[in-house]
Amino acid sequence: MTVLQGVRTGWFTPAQEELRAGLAAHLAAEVEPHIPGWEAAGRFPVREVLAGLGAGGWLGLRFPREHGGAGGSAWEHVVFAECLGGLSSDSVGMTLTVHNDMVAPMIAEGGTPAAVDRFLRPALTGEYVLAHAVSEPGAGSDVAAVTSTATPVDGGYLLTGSKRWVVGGLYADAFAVLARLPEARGPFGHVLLMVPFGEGVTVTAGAPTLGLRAAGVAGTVDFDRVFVPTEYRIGGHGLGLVTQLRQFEQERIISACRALAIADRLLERTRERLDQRISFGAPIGSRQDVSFRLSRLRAEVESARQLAYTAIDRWEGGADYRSASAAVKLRSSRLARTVARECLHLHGAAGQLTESPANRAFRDARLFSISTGSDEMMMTTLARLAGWDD
Amino acid sequence: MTDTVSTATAPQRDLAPLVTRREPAANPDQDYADRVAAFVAAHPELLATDRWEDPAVPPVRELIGALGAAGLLRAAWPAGTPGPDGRSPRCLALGRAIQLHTAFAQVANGAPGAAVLTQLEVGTRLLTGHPELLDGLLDGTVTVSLAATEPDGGSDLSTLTTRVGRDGDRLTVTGEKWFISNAPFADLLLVLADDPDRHTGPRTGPALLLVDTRQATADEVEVTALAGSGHTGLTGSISLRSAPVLAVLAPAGQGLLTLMRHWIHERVMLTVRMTALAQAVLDDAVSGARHRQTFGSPLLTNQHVRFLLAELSAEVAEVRSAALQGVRLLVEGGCTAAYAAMCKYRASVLLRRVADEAIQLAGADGYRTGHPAERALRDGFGLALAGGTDELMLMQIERG
Ligand SMILES: Cc1cc2nc3c(=O)[nH]c(=O)nc-3n(C[C@H](O)[C@H](O)[C@H](O)COP(=O)(O)OP(=O)(O)OC[C@H]3O[C@@H](n4cnc5c(N)ncnc54)[C@H](O)[C@@H]3O)c2cc1C
Ligand SMILES: Cc1cc2nc3c(=O)[nH]c(=O)nc-3n(C[C@H](O)[C@H](O)[C@H](O)COP(=O)(O)OP(=O)(O)OC[C@H]3O[C@@H](n4cnc5c(N)ncnc54)[C@H](O)[C@@H]3O)c2cc1C
Repeated sequence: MTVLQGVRTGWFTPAQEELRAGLAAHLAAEVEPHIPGWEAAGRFPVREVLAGLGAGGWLGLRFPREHGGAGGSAWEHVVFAECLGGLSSDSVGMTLTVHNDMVAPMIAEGGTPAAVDRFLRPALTGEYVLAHAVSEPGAGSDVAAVTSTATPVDGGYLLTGSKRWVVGGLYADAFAVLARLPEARGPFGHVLLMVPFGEGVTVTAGAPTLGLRAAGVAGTVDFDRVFVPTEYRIGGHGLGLVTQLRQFEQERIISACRALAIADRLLERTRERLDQRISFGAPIGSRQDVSFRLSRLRAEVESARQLAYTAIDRWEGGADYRSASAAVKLRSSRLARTVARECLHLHGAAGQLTESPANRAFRDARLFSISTGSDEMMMTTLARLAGWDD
Repeated sequence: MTDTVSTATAPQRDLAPLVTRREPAANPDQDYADRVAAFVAAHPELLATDRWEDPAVPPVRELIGALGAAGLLRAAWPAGTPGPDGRSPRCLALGRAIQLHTAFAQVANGAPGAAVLTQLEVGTRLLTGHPELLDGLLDGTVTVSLAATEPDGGSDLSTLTTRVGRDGDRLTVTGEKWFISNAPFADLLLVLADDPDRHTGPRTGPALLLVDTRQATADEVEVTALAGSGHTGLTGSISLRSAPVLAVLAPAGQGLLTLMRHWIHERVMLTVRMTALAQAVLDDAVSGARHRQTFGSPLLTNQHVRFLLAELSAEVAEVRSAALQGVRLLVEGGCTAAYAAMCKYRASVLLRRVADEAIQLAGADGYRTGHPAERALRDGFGLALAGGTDELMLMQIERG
């Protein structure tokens, strides 16, 4: 249905809609058919998928042409995110988002020319896979509490520490790592470093998880006295946390667009199924309570999407989008979770089969409320921005 | 002052015996509780969480066998004489069943409890009128499943495609069932099948049949374990191809009615189990919030977290009370289908809510397969369908 998505809403240009059609067709033909197999195997060929996207010119659409991008705007990345939400595996959606919308933007915006050449260009052709290593056992919600330490040495830093839960960590060629400086305290005591996989870097598979089973999630990524040259630092010395938090504000809007596209697709698929499935002499989808539940959720998805578009509009227009970003991350995460649960239940026993798309969607969608800024952290941010903190 | 006077002159009544007769959960049978606890302590391997997370081999037969051998199933079955305090055998048995299901909600993330409940409160209960089978079921040497649901429909059991047939003078049954609890381990199957040709009685409609898988060939009865996201390894699909019928438990037209009467009991006991599961997950969440530190202090120091946990504990208490009232009504024989449906509906909503919030409080750790809340959420979705879906419960409540 996607009533309020697309060119008719006034948010997207015809060129962006053309982009959407082309990308969606590519994903439907080249990616979606393989998903059941990838999910069963517990991994997917991210390099192959990225290479296909790179060849089509779909990666890094908003980054400057001189950095290997297409010189577009955040709107093209919304289209990209919404197309990823059309896939039945968020292992794919999330891994590509980390690559294209979490790590790549930091290099494009704050990387040195050397970092752009070394990491961004090959990432945008799909030859090079990027992952994001921020969380630690004692630093999940409290990002500033990271204990991984970057000790300044001649020409760079020596990085030591252990990161936990890294999407695509098992596939990655390089990691964006947030580390603290040895003596520093407070918000200006961190650095963000691009660290190639190599000597001193150990990646270990994670424990099995509810969802994201093909995302190559690393349980731990350990860095043991890894030398990182200064030119691979993103943003200034001491400004790592600030750079990271700014980037989160943008990425959360993009993630929200993916979450809402997932919710949209699930509502549509569930409606299709229930219109076919008969109980007590009539299609289940024709029952009033079922219709009302689906319609209520549909209304929530559509209005949340307008919040996402409003946030993008502010970002593109140079206005303050911080609270819109936190609000739409919170709303979209909760909605994706609620919609996925409701749709799972309405699939009856068929949805209980682990490999069924409705089941996978529920398992994958539960992560939105936890990762890249949990619901509670979004509420904390909203309260702080409104001046309501204790 | 008048209060004091009226109290003083009120007739003296000893309410205690009355209360204990009606209250299966009051004065818990300490001896039984000790035996259950000893059983759990003595079987660490059988009850290891990993074994119930491995879809290939949850040790269902071994568990039921061991429980039966320890006499724990029989003790939770109404028989014999009233207790010393005047409680009826039924009251005593259901009191112990509450203890059993509550204890099993606390081991191995509650997973083995599903298999126990299917054996005791579903299959065996439906065979109450068959003393020749009861011994094996209560001794745990024979296992049983109820097979009603079909791939083409579970909510509406009046349109079954499984059919009763006849081969010479023996009755047979043919059809497909799926999502049948304990089916991969079942000796006996209670099969709901349509009987348009009146093989089982003078009327048409669903009949309830007994099939002994041990007496059927692999071709006649084929059971495949299903890869469900909840109840890992515990459900199966069944192909029946002219499978021999051992007995007709309810003739055509009576099968569904028999099940509807039975479901009152099953739904109340499911509510007991689901509430105990919710309590176990909540306890784990509270202890997690005490220990997990963010921003330099325990999670539990945040008001949001405390209020959420307080609200959830109130909901658990509420549904537990409703469940215990359900058991009281079962003891008295006065539990209505609508009341049982209210219990089951509330418990199903509760379990998923508690599990979902507990995952959230545990962050990435809660997203790990086998975290108590993660397991409970997966099982919770299954329990919102098994034994009658939420929507079916709402229809039943409306019907009264
Ligand atoms: C599958 C998966 C993939 C991941 N991928 C990545 C990745 O690629 N890169 C990466 O860096 N990280 C990744 N993460 C980690 C993720 O970002 C963290 O899980 C998240 O930040 C939450 O941190 P935590 O798990 O340590 O929870 P905690 O910080 O311990 O918090 C636990 C819960 O309590 C809540 N809470 C915390 N503090 C408060 C408070 N003061 N008041 C109220 N509530 C509070 C939180 O919102 C959360 O719900 C991933 C996690 C998972 C599960
Ligand atoms: C873990 C587990 C264990 C099970 N164990 C057993 C067992 O031991 N024996 C057995 O026979 N079955 C068992 N079942 C099957 C269960 O009874 C069925 O899944 C259930 O009856 C629903 O049937 P269905 O899956 O075909 O859903 P459908 O009938 O296809 O219904 C799909 C969804 O639509 C809703 N719905 C249907 N009709 C309406 C309506 N008219 N109005 C509004 N909503 C409606 C349903 O509630 C459900 O949410 C089990 C299922 C699970 C998941």
